[in-house]
Amino acid sequence: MSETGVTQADDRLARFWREDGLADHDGAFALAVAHGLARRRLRWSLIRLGGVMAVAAVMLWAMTPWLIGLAGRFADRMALLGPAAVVLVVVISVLVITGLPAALLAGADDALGDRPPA
Amino acid sequence: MTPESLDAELVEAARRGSPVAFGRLVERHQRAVRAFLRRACGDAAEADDLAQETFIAAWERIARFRGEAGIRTWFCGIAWRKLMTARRSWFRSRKRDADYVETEGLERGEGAGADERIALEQALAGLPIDQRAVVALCLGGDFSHSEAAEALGLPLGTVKSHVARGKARLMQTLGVDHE
Repeated sequence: MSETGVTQADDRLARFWREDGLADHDGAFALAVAHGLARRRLRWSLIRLGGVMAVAAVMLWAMTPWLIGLAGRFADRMALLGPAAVVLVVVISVLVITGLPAALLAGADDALGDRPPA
Repeated sequence: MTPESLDAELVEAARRGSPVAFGRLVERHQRAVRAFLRRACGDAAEADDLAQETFIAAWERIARFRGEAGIRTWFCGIAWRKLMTARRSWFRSRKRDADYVETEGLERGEGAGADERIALEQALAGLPIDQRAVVALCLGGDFSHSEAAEALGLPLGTVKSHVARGKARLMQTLGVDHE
């Protein structure tokens, strides 16, 4: 085989390697990899969360007798907190419904000159 | 900025946990990794699956990348190990060399030179797997012999002889007695 023949064969081989059907930038492939990474991160997050929850459940189960005793000791004092909590909730609800806190905040903005001129 | 320094910068950012930087590394090197895997395993769909697994594994191990070899070499090293693991599992190994021409040839086997392409793909499929991988990297992927040796974990002398034998086989397919 002549030197020209070898060179031509080299060129044909080089063309064979070039024509691999792949693009320099393939957004779909990059997206698939990003998706795979996100799935993997989610899986690890769920595993970690599951582990934390399992540990918390075991701790809670182990502490149950102690917690029941503690609740029994404070039960009388906690009973007084009930009506106070109801009153607090009613007052906060009235304030939110009437918009009084927002009006007070707007007034403070005016005093600081934050409101744009009309 | 040279491609190497851009890669180094992106690797550093990816090590600090930047998925955007890692995404750019994937964009820059996906073609090399996928082309290598397609030629080495002979099944485009399986090669792309393995390439995805490669980049996911690379993201998880990026902190361990020492930078002694280029990032492209490191990616291809992971891809090679993924391919070897996949070949050991029975359900993947059933589709292999026999499907090579079927998948690759049918996808791009039209037009002038199609017969030659099929013949070359058959010749490539006929090579032993490590020889095929070396040929895919050094002849098809512009890797140096030492880069290929690093990626595939083979001695440099073995890589050189694989390249010589592989090229001779492909040239023979093209009607040239390559010495």
